[in-house]
Amino acid sequence: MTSSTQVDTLSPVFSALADPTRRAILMRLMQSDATVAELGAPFSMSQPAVSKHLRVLEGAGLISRSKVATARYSHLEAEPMQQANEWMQQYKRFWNASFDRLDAALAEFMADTAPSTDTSTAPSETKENPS
Amino acid sequence: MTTIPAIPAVTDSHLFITRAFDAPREVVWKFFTQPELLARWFGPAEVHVDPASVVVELRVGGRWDLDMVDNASGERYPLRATLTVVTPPEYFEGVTAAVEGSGPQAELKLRVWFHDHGSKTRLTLHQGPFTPEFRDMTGAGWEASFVKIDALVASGEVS
Repeated sequence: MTSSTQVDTLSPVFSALADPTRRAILMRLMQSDATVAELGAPFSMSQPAVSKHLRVLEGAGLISRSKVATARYSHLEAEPMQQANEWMQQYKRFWNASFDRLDAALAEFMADTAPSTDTSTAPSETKENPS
Repeated sequence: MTTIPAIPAVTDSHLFITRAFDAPREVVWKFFTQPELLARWFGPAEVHVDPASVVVELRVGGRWDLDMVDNASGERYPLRATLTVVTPPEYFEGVTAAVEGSGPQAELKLRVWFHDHGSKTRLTLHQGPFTPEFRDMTGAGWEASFVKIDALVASGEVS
């Protein structure tokens, strides 16, 4: 059980992930570090909005930002995502239970529909002669 | 004389804004084309324009450049556009320059129509292509900027 005194790092992570633009930014950063312009905002009117999203991601620890000359690069940080993934993995056993039930249902279905004896209707050996 | 294009159909990939300003067309045109005026309104509320960064060359192939600066962080958001059609005071068209290493959205076309309604002006802006997220973020940026034009017009200092 998670201690109540432990610092809550998961809430900012899931909160940061609860936005399609921020998820798209993270997907892009899997390929390489990128500037705001490279994150798809070459027209500056949208860059302040992208910067806001980057600050949220940075606050959740999902990215770090570094300055190279005048450009500011965002870099993916995998650690918080690993913690989120570990938390979600707790649900795996429920999935496995569902798969077990699916197995049972499939087996039952196959038993019901399988022919009890071989009544296969093989095509007649005598071929009709196409005239 | 350049033919001013018809306003294209609305699509998901393009931003489409039409909006009225309480000023004659020549005045609204100035806000887009005079560097000292452009510097006073361009960009959403949380940024300002570095006046020294503004370059406007009102001709085909001319520049329409500026740097927005984030009020909180000092981060700079450069705009680098090349004008492709200039028909004062009715219409201009430009393409955003490919910022170094820019992504698939580098080739953005911006088209702005200024419709004369006497003491008022209706502006139509068409820009794209965008993904839906960037279309909406850019649209919000323009709308927040236009509010600054309203305030400058209302103050009566520009005519």
